[in-house]
Amino acid sequence: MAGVVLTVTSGKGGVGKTTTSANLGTALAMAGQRVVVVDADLGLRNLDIVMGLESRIVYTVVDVIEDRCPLHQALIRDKRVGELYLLPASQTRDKDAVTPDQMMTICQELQEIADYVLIDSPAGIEAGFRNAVAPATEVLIVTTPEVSALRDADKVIYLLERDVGIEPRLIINRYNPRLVRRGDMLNSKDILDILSIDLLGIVPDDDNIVISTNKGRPIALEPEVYVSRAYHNIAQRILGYNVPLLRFQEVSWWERFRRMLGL
Amino acid sequence: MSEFNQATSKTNNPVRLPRPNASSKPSIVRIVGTGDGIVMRIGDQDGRWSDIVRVLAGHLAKAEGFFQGERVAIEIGARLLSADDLQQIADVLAGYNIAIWAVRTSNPETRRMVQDIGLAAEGMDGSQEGQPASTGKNERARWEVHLGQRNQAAPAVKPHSEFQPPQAIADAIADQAIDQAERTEAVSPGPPKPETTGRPAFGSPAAEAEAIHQTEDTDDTTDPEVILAPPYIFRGTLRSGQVFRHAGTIMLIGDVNPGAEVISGGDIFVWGRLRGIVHAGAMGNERAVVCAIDFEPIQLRIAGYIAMSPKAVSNEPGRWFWRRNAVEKPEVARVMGKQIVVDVWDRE
Ligand SMILES: Nc1ncnc2c1ncn2[C@@H]1O[C@H](COP(=O)(O)OP(=O)(O)O)[C@@H](O)[C@H]1O
Ligand SMILES: [Mg+2]
Repeated sequence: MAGVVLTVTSGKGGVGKTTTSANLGTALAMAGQRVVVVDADLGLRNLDIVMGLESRIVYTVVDVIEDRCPLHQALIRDKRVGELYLLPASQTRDKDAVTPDQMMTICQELQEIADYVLIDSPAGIEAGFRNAVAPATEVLIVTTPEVSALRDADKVIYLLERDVGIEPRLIINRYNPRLVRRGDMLNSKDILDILSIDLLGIVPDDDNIVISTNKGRPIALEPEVYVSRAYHNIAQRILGYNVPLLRFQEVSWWERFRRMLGL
Repeated sequence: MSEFNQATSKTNNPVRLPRPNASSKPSIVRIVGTGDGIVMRIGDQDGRWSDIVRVLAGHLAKAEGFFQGERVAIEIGARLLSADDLQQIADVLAGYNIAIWAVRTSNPETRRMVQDIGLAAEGMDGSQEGQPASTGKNERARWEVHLGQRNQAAPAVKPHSEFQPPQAIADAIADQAIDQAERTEAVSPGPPKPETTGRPAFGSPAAEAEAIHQTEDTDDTTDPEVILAPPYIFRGTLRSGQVFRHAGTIMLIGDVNPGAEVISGGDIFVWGRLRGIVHAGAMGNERAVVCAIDFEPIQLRIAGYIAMSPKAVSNEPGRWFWRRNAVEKPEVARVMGKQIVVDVWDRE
């Protein structure tokens, strides 16, 4: 059976697409799936860095498209987990080196060998975005709880529904329960009210993510770290298991105290 | 009664109120919304062509960009027209991003000329006599060449959920997909699914609504008369970047998200959350109203009046933006005493 092609996209840049792709790829592989993560951010590659595989790159997706090597030769195996592979982007060539058709051809080939193909989309809604969503069977929208990110996410959802006929699922990244409690950050309900798509998971804002990124070691490799659980839970939901959402304290202790007393 | 801030009281080009006029001489140019789109009707015999072009330009200026990005059919009766004549009209329209997709005429000479240009030539009843053999795509390409640079920004054909284009053109639209959506931010919501949209029982698709906007005579020419299209029901959420535009009243069942726009020649009803920008009476009807169950538009316009939500100009517009409305009742906005007034919708 052909694998699932999951594109991770957002509209706005810097909201955590690459972090999400690396960690979900890792978590799915740790759950026994055969996974290929594809860096579709041509010209600005960094999925390889986040995964700590930069030094091993010989061929890139552009070399495959331009027939300089067979597909399997460009795949880099991540030896820390079961079966996880990276198809790197080129740093020197930009998005115009690839067309949506070529991306579809490559992904069809990858679908034959992998259970999950994860595509890390570039920011924006231009050529690079179209390349990344063209082969998708499912799309994950990553957003932070900021109005600018939400506005872009909303537009991307609309474009996907109109042009690809896919209703994406949502990942809220960098959620900060403390700010939500103080009323200084939108809560997940506000966000879902506007975007009205299914929520796949919430990833808290956590310093460990920055630290692990700099080490080139996705936090999902450390299942005992709290934030890592968010990614493993999302991976489980992608696999079809019904895992409850992480619980955050969104009301103040005073509020809880009052409720306890029935005030 | 909530105190919507009055940003600009009136645009510099006020549109006269509709007035039942006595001696209405039939105007030489009429713009009509019909079941298959906007039709510009040009009188059969009287009037020099240059006058007609001027009247049309005058009317488009008054409509304040309402037709921006639309595509129209032109009806010219039995008039004999040269390619240059048609080009004059096309030039004026191109200034408003409006493209011609068909010309209806009963004059065989004119029809031949239209076919030579590569547009759809139809009989006066809209029948496809003498339809050029070319496909929709070719029609578009050839017409764009003819219009030169000016038409680059405006795709000659444009999907509009109300006005279903003929199949050939619909195919050409499909090809443009995302591409076009980004170039012109005015994105119509995709073609409606048949089961999700409906037209009210009155007003059959091809039938024209009653004339509600008729202006008195000015200077030497007659003002065009605008006939609004029948009401339109849209079901679904309008997301950021979407623009929904219709000449008649719009009934929207769903939400209008921040960053989305609804523009109507008549009233706008939102059965859901209204957070984007709305413009009712966009062709000058000051009696138009805007209603919503959850009424929180970031900006609101009725005819030439503009109002901004007081919360949107507060010190935390961003935060407010995604929040729930405090007034948990439907509200209605209308023009009263030269400003936009918002009231809670009550029975009385
Ligand atoms: N949940 C999180 N908590 C803290 N920092 C995060 C989180 N997710 C992402 N980041 C940081 O945000 C920055 C941008 O993330 P990245 O994945 O590169 O975004 P994108 O690929 O969307 O441009 C990185 O420095 C990353 O470490
Ligand atoms: Mg990235």
